[in-house]
Amino acid sequence: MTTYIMKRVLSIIPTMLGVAVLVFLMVHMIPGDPARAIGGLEADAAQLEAIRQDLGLHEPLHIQFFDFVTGALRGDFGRSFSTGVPVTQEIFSRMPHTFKLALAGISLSVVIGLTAGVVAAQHHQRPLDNIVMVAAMFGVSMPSFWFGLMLIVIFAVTLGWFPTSGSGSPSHLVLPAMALGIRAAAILARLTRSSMLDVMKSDFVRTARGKGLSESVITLKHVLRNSLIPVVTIVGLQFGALLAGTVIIEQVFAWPGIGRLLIRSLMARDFPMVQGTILYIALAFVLVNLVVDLFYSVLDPRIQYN
Amino acid sequence: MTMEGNEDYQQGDQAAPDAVREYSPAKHVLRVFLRNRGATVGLIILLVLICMAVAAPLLAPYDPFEISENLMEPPSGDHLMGTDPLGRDLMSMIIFGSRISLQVGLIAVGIATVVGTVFGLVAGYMEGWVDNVIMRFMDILLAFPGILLALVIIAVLGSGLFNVMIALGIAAIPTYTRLVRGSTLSAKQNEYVMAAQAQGANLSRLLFKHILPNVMAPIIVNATLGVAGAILASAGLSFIGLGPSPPTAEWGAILAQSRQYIRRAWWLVTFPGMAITLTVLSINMVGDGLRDALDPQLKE
Repeated sequence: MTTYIMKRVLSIIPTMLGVAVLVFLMVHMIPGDPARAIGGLEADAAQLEAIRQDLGLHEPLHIQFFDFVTGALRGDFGRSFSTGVPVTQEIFSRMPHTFKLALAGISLSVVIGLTAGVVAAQHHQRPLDNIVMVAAMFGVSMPSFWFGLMLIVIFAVTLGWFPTSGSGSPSHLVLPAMALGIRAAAILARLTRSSMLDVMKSDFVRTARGKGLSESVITLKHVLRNSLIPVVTIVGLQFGALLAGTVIIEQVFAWPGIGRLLIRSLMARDFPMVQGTILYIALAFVLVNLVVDLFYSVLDPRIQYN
Repeated sequence: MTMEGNEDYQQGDQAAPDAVREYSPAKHVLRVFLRNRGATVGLIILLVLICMAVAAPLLAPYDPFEISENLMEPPSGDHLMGTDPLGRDLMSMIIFGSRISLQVGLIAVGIATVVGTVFGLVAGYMEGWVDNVIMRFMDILLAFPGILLALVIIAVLGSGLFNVMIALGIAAIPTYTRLVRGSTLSAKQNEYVMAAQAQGANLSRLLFKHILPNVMAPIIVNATLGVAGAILASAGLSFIGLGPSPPTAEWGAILAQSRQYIRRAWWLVTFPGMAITLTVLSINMVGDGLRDALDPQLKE
């Protein structure tokens, strides 16, 4: 078990190193000259060369990569080409916004998803079950950014209950969190339902029923608890997916997180910023997956590791 | 459903050779599939959408790119879904958009399935260092969550429809590689595979003739659901401005252009999204039905 955990933790290092290489190479393959982007159209050859010198772009690729990796290990991704602000500083000032949004999204989806799943399982093959399942099917089939637009049309433009975009107050968080969490909620509802239906068939539930326990005690204490193992895993994985989902949702709601930063930097050919944001998102994703894996191994002692 | 499935097998086992020939796995799958109401409804919707895409020029009431003086009109008898800021008929744009979305979905998944399957077959069959190299590389690709990898690939290739297909295709490769590798590891333990090995069958024959047919079922299910995922992802990429350049009838791109009119023209942001949802929904329902029919063990 301990060796498994050690191995699993250490496996992050080569993966992240690979991610760093891949991101570095891809970012440097992006067409367009960043020196030109900074200097503007009027800059002459000498000025462009000066900019390249300044940014280290004149160095051969492997030297640039070496600088990039050694910097990254110290948490230094250089400065933004367009604003001059250190990349790490900019990311750290935006990261909390993205985490807040992702956390709100996943909390919402857990509450909605679990409730809907439990209700559907209790009403198996009755109208309520069908309604929940059809709704869940829509939930996984809707583009979440479009759901966000619809929420804006209904709750912000028509009813005026929430602001259309921006951040700052808790009410700014509601619509983007719903847009972000709807897909995970639908996935969790489907999973909770099927997992509960599986557990309901098991012997210990029949025993509990035979002992004369009430249905609500059976559902909550016996069925739900045992159905949660796969659900917990998916919650973790969905949290990782939500981090990526914020890239588009932040655009819809003008949310000042790293997703918007990434898109803006991509459009501006701001290489250091693009590298930094992607690496941080990937690192967060890999760490979340790691925690899920470890948690899973603690939660389900039946799984053998070697 | 499984019970009836078994009866089919038993008939095949015990009856005369004629009856044996009559049993066809494809027919059986089709029968189980059609008994599933959701899957059948999904299939009908999908077929209608495909017909719509094919017959778009005949069905669309207007030329989707024709600019008129009827700017931003709400839905009416003349324009069932209203018009956009340039006076173009939204319904015609959406009908033509179905061609783009279905194409993107199919081609992206085509790329991912073919490349991912080959990698998975090779990794699972060879094991050892080949397996290690392939799977560690896939781990790296999988460290990019969601559409992040596709996003960067498009940044490198440049925006545009074809590049979106390639980017989404590459981003989906690891899923198929993992899936096929897992199935290959168990499929190669089959005795007939070992027999073929012993007879000296060459590698490509072993992989594609003997092992591949055994791992087809999960590939088909995943590819179907993958088309739905690719359509969603491509709409998202177009929405943030990385899709085909205008003028285009791509659904995500229409949504992106319509967003600034969200206060004045609800129809512009509503109908394209409905089109995406309906398409993805129908494909998901077909995929779920296929999964239940092809692999009863995976049933939810």
